[in-house]
Amino acid sequence: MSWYEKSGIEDSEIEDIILSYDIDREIIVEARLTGEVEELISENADKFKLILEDRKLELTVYHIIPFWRDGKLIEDNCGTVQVGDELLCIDPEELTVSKEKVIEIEVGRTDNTPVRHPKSSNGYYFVNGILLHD
Amino acid sequence: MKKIIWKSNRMFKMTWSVVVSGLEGENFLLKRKKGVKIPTMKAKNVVQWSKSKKKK
Repeated sequence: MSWYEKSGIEDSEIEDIILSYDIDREIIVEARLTGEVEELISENADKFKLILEDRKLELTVYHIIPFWRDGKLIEDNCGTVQVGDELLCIDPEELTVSKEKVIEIEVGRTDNTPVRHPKSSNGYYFVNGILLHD
Repeated sequence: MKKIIWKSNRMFKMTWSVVVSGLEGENFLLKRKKGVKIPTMKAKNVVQWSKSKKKK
């Protein structure tokens, strides 16, 4: 039984209730999508595919992501993430989180690539089960 | 969905956040199913959204 379902970013709507995380209190929270998911076309921007053991996520360089290096929390653009850094991942069935290491990073450039950016009520959300900053 | 033609390196604002929709599968959020009640044992792990939380 699952109480949360995967919702494609392009299919998400304002007022949808999504899983998020409170960094300060270190707890899973629900948040509300507060803005329209815009679709943009990105051309010739740096992009990074962050590959973990069982999930991956591709971001343009400017996307802010929380990560842990040597146990210390850092929030910076995804271009600063290195192999070995840890990202916060969620198990939506158990409603638990764990830190998982980045095992590989593929670097590229966008080429008329559709880009989407949701906004949530608390500034964070999980995409592909990986915590991102709004 | 609003569509914007965007030349990222010239127009990008650092306050924006973007997720590339890659070619290798979908990017998804985790959305609460409607009409589903989270069991108590699981519900203690998550602070659920309530309508009383007004947008500031």
